[in-house]
Amino acid sequence: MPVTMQQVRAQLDRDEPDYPTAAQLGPTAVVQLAKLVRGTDALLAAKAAYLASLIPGDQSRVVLDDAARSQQGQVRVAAAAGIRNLPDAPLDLIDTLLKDSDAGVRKVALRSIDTRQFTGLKARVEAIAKSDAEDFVRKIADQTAKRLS
Amino acid sequence: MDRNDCIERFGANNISRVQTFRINAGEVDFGDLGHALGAPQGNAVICWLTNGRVAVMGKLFSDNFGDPQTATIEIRFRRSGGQVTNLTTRSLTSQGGPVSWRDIERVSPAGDFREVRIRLKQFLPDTGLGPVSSVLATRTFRRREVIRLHIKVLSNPIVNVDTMVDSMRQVYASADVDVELASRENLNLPAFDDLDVDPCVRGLTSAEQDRLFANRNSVGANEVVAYFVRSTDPPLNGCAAHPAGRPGAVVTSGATLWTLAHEIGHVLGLNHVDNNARLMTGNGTSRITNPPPNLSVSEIEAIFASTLTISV
Repeated sequence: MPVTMQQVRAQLDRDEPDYPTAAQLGPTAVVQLAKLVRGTDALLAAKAAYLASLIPGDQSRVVLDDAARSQQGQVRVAAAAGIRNLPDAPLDLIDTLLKDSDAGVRKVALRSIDTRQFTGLKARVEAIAKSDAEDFVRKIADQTAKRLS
Repeated sequence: MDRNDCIERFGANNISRVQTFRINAGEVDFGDLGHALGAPQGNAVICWLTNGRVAVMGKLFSDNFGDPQTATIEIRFRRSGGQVTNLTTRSLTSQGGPVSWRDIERVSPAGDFREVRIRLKQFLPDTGLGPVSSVLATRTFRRREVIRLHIKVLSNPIVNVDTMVDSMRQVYASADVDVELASRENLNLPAFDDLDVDPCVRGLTSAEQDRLFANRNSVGANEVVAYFVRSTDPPLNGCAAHPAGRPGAVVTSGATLWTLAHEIGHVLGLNHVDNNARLMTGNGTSRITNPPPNLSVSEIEAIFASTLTISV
């Protein structure tokens, strides 16, 4: 039985969603999450993107790709947070988020890289540590680079 | 009883605040007529006067159908300096049978009074094992309870901050608690504008939360700070987890009208409920059905018990 939008909203309308519980809605919820990510409510879109990241499947990656291209900064922040939950986050998506014009998105992407210890990104992170326009992003990148193999 | 009884007794210009209440303590009650199903159906009243005095008016009920007993009410007033008056005791003895009552009116002496404590007691006669005395209820009422709220804005929310504060005031007014906006400050801290709050559980905070909540410029020890940020990681409307000794919450840019009040409710010790008529609904404050949402009696008691609710 496909998950309805009503069921998804029951989880995401909460002020503090319980994401692990919400993820139990399963893969059929991702269609609804994709709609919310493309919607006009930025907070709801951000919650939907993050929830999608916790539901295994190719479609979840598509939802995060959409979120990473959102006009809303906080939705892209959620995509940056979500990549740490993807079992095999694509490097091109990570790279897109590391190059984002919004420093908050770059910071959260670095945090995800640090949390998951993604490989093959050390040089990229070191470059950010040297040249990012924002001091706080450079500091986080420096700390992350030191922990990456 | 209500405000009109205070006005009739003391004059409209002499009343600064009125609190109505009833105490249903089983076999001894305090309130007003009628009395049905074992409980007073009307309210007693506390009249806080502009000259600093305070008065308690109501009816003491003896409600022990089966046995003789003496119902007692004790009233004590506390001045702003902390000194208390002598205990006033009024009693009513009944022999069982229908509910009986007596009028109670106690006016404080002259002075600047801030608190009234009311205690209901029951005395049962000696049946061979000695007389039994029990405290059935104790309630404390204060002239004014205040939550001192400080606002620190990293990013402005969609729902205006002032509107959220007004909404919070509406909710907490139902508990006779004022929300005082003690200060407001913009913080230029882009490093914390998308704040790591994982896992957003009481007593657990991230390094970012610890650093953001260290910003307590002009904030007193028992005062609460709401930090308005763009977003949290993971995405939430708000999060009330805070470092020990730094009470506060974060509220994100997409928060609802009631999120601020809800998160501060958590800071005061309240938990989620499954009821969309109440502030602390866990189903989302966007689903609140009856604005302003309710606080339950136990929630109000928890708010009064919080060290963050200041008696003034």
